Amino acid sequence: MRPFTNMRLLQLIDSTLLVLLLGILALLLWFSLGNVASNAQHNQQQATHALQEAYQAFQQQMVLESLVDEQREAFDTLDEAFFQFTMNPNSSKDGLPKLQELSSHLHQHSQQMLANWPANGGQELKNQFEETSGIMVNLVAELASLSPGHWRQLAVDAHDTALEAREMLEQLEGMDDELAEQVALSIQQSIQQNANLASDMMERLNTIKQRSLLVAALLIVGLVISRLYFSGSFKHLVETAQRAQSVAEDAVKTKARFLATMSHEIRTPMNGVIGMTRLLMNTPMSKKQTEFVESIHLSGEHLLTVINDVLDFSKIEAGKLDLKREPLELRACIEDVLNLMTSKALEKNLELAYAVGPSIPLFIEGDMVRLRQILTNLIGNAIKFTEQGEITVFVMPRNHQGEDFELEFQINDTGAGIPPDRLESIFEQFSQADNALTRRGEGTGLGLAISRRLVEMMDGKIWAESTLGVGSRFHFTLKARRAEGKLKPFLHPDIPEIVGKRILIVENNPASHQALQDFCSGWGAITQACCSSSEAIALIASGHTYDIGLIDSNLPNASALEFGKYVRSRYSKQAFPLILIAPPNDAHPKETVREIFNLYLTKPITRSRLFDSLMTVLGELNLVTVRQEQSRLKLGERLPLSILLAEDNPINQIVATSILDEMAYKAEIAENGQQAVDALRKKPYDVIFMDMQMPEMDGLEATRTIRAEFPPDRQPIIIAMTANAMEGDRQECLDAGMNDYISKPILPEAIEAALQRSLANLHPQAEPA
Amino acid sequence: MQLLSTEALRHLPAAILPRLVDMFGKTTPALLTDIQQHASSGDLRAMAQAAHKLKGSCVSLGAEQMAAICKELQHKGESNDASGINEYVAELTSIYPATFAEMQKL
Repeated sequence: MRPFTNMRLLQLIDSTLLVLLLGILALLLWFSLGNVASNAQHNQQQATHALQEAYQAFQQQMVLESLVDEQREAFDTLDEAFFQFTMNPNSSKDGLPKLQELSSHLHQHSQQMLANWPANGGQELKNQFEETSGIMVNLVAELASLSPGHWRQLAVDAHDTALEAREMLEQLEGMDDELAEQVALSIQQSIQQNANLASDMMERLNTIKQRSLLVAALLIVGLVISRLYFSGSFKHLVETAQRAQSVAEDAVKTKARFLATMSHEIRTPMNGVIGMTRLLMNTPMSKKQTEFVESIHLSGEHLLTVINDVLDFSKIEAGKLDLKREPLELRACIEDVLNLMTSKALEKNLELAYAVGPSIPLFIEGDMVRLRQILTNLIGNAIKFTEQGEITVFVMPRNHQGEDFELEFQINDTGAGIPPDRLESIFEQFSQADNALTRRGEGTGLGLAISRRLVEMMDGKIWAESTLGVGSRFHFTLKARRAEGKLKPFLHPDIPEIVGKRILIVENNPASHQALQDFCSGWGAITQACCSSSEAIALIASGHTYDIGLIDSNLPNASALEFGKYVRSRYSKQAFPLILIAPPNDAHPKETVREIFNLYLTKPITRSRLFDSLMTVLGELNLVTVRQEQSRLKLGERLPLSILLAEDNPINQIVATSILDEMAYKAEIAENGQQAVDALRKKPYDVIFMDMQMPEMDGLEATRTIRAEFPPDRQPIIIAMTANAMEGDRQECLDAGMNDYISKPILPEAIEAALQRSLANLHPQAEPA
Repeated sequence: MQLLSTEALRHLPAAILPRLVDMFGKTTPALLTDIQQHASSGDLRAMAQAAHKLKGSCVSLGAEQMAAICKELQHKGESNDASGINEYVAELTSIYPATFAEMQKL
């Protein structure tokens, strides 16, 4: 059976069933109990009514009984008085009033009796009684009119009448008793009825109880069944979902692995294609052939970037991309990207400039490679879509709480702009504002999507605004912490050589303007910035003096040279050195520039280059002889070390030993890793330069052996040398236990720097001043 | 890419240059043959080792093109990928004389 999988419908059915069952239960109870209640009320009323009736009957009976007693007494009294009167020979008519009084008394009572005659007393009896009592009263009246001789007869009559009346009263009493009996009966009936009703109700309640128990049991059974069914379905659903999820996860993993492998597999032959194409380009070819080969080369390189983008994107999608958290030098990061982009910007004569808010720390915690990727992408796009004008990068603090910063990056261009309806979708994958450009062979359409993912991984957001024909502005934010890193000299604030120097800046590009001011004042200089040469000339003419002038070569009206000439007419190169800030393809004649300006500073302006320029100019002025003397002393003379060189290639042996010789070090040679380990067993060395790939035992294995086998005091500094200039190799070397890494061809500076770095790390006090 | 870049050589003491070039001339033909033989016999690992060795020499002396090809060969040899090897070897052999001639001019 196919289980139910529609969760919503399931819920709906479940709820409906529950509500229905509860409803039935409630209705059943309502009707049953409603009937019972009305029955009970009815019974109550009936019982009350019966009791009331009984009570009334009882009262009436009481009244009647007393009336009968009184009547009887009245009859008896009259009868007796009559008898005594008539039988007494001394009686005279004077005794009559007493009899008359008794008679009227009787009459009164008879009237009362008649008024209260019970309804069931019988009309005949009532009439008879009325008549009898009338006769009795009449007898008394007759007594007065008759002579005493007839009295005796009258007394007999009266006695008879009284007897009759008594009989009638007895009859009445009998009837009354019958009534009472009836009342009692009805009360008994009512009680019986009540009892019956109560038992009936009990029976019904019992039935209801049983029924509701049954219904409740049914309900419970129904619910249990439905729950069981639903929970079964639910479990099934969850299992299905889990299975689907694991399948999907596996698929994603497989996909990511596949893409990673594939892109590696594709990259290797692609490198071959590109390499061979390069070789081909150096062979004699016709113009047509050269064009074709160049186009193959370009397509090849484009294909490589596509592969890299796809790899990155699939890595992010698969959640395989982890951001590093390491000290990142924000300004250097931007400068690196700008340096990379210079050549592309130059092709179109675009200005590149950047400014970072002074309150932003030098080092933040972040992933340099990924931040560079975002910047490269956005700046690359800006250059790609801009035909003339400038690309500027600004970094501003948005929020700042203690060590936590939220930074906003802005990348502005003066390009064609993006239509408003495309602004939302440009961050989706495989979307580019102008599809024509994709066809032209630039970009994959993944760049912005990758950037967006990366920005989101950095707890930021990315968005764009644009005005058609004016330019676009891309923003992105990221959250970062202040970090501590090792400062390069030019990153230190307040450089002693620069502090207090007055620097005149003549620069019309606002971004460069800002950057120059920020950098110089950061090092402690006093800056005066102008936007045009005439402004600057006015300042000098009014008697202001400066130590150094920074002049942009692209001033309006091509007035950079004019300004230089004006300055030279008043100051020598030593008195007021000038630095010309120019793009590498500056149009000014080199000879003239050399006459007027002390130095060229090539764009884009970066702190390191500006620092170098300023120090060069200041150094020329101060003629720092101490430093030259110090540098004449070779490293080996200042810092003698025993060095072993593990290298199998005879030419490289000569190259390395001769470079070390120049530095006054005598190196001993091992042909491979095994020999190096053996040599170290014989005597200790301070430093081993280790080639990575050697026969018998390679550099990595030799290093691991040395690190594992030798005591701490015999551990040398090991510096790798390799021609595989890849980032992964570097990590491999460090993981194996090497201290540093230099790539071939080996250069004296690299060796010296590596030696100094390693020694500084091992013995901070040994670092040469 | 140039046959010979003088960038790397500039940093070397001038006195040892003739010795290096001489050594390059003596060791390279043997290595080239080595590479050729291993390539045709299909022992790609051995070919990669020889290519690596030649690459080291070339890098140090600024023979950029030869170094690039050696790197390619080494890479292919290590990943056991025989495709295009013969072309690379032919290319390497053909540019060697010109490269060596450039060196001798120094």
